[in-house]
Amino acid sequence: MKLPLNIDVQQILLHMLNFVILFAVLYFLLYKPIKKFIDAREAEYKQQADEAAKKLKEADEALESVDQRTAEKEEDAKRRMAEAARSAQEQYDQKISDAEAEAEKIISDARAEAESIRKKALEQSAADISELAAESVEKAVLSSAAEAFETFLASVEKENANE
Amino acid sequence: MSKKQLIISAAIFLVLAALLLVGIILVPGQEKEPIQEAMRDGVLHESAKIGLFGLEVNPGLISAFAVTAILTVFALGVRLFAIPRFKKIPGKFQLVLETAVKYFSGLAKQNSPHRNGFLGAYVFTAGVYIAFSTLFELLGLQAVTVSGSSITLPAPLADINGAIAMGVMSYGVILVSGIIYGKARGAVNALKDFSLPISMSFRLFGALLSGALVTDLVYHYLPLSFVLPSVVAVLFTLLHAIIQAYVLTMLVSVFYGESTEVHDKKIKRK
Repeated sequence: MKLPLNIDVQQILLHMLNFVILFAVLYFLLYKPIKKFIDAREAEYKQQADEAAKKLKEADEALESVDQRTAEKEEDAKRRMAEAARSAQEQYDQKISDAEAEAEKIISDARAEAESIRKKALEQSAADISELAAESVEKAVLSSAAEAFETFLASVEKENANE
Repeated sequence: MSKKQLIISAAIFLVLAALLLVGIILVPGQEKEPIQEAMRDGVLHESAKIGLFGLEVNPGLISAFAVTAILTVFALGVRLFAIPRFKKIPGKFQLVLETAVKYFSGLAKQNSPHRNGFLGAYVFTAGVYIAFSTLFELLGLQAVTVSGSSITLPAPLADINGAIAMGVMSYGVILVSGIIYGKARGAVNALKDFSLPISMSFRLFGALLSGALVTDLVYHYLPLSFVLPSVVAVLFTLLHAIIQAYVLTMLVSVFYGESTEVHDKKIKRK
């Protein structure tokens, strides 16, 4: 069917048929296989990216868990250290208290012993002094008696000589 | 080569070129048809018909078949020898093919996010066909008309029948997809743009024909047919190949996306 401007319906249909054939050829030989290849590659890269993201997330979670555990351990260590410090302080205070008590006891014992020694020493001194005094008196008495005896003997001897 | 030899060679070349030019101008050529007739024939192809299985067809149809044949051989070669050797990190040729496919599938996806499988394949074929069929005229293949004279095969879409076929088919794709996917709304959307096949057809025809006519005009006058045609023809053709492929595929994608658009009633009610 001829129309103005040399438009021909038969030729239009032939052009359409040509294009439909070209569409089928390009779709099955180029577009579909290339798109399939691109999609498969994208899917593979996406899978790799997803796996990497998953692993990264797991690593983050593990790191977070480690951090949490570290914090817990640090907290526990701090708590234990505080407890140990408190316990050590208590023990220290107790020992100081005990030592002070013992020192006081030692001092009081020492004082009592010293008092006892002093008393004993005084008593001993008094006894020694009495004894020394008696000895001195005895000595004094004995020396004056011996001298008188000697004088007596000397006079006796003298009288005997004169006779 | 010394400077003296260079000057002598250049002088000989210029003298020969000048003699040939004088000879071309002085020797009478074949009787030319007037420019008006040449232009009219360039537009309408009324006199230059080619026989095809008993039919008398425009040279553009033969060009269309030739382009399809060339592209089929090319696609077959690529499918058999290149695609099985595709690598994850593409080479230059693979990159060109992938870029073309990705561009057209991306264009379809961008304009019709919900249904774009068929559209991607259609715009890919349309884009490749328009680009390669426009470049086809650069080959300058000759054919014999029914009157016995030879004719250079033009771009298929410089034939008004080829351009109308392309425009009508594109509109048909938009309309049918609108009816299938968009139901009544899609059909109305496509039908309200009833001028679309005419505008698409004549845009394509006019754009490609203008390039061909300018080239014809330049060839027609002897003083203009030295050096200039090689620049004008190649530049016009390359520009047309890219621009027309882009324009038609973009228009088809936009209208296809509009006619197959999904309207979520539940979202609207909220």
